[in-house]
Amino acid sequence: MLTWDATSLRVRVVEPILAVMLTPEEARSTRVEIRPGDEEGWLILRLTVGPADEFVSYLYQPPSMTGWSQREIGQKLADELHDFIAESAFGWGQTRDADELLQSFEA
Amino acid sequence: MAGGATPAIFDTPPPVGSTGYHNIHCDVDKLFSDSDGSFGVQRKCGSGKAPWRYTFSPGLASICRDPVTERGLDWWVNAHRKPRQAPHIVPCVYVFHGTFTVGKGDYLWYTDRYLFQVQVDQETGDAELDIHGGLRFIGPAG
Repeated sequence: MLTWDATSLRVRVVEPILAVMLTPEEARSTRVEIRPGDEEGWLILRLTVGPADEFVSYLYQPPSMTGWSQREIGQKLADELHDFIAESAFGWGQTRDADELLQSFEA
Repeated sequence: MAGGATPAIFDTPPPVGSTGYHNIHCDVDKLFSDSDGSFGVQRKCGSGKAPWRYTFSPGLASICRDPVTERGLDWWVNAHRKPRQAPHIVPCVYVFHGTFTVGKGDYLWYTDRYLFQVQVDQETGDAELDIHGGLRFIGPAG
């Protein structure tokens, strides 16, 4: 059974996706925090981009995401970041995706 | 009202096939409204996606004080729980939105929670709005 923890999610999912969905300047101003959620085993991702934009995602939620692949978790995160960036101060109205990267993720 | 906004918490879906689910024909933009707000959902015929949205009613928005904290929508398809959707901290007039991954014949149950403050005259208080609904995605009308 495929299992995930905060470190593996950060290295194999979060950081690669941020690298393609944020500009280098935006990435340099981004703080990344992964902490336990309010249900057992859940991990919550919090991003602060620049001075004003904050993003929160329920990054990993067993049991409903137990066994999810790198690509499945990445697709969910990329979909949420797609909305966040389009509504942010730094990327207002832009449509960014990680489709090419996600094809290289383990399915 | 099922499909719309209520002050109750429903984190257990009713049995699949029961009367707790409203039929959602494909290619129809369905809107459920009550005094708190409106929940809209639609699915294109043949699609496996159904976008949803929720807005506070003008009356509620008029007494709501920014910001609103949305917990993130919980949802079940055919009684199987799906990952909670993203939370938001946004203005009262925000169009909360997301996408369900569903197909024809699926039964979907959802619930979400919004926390905010209200101001009436000079009095301020804490408010909690819970919404829920049951949807059954079916083919075209007629």
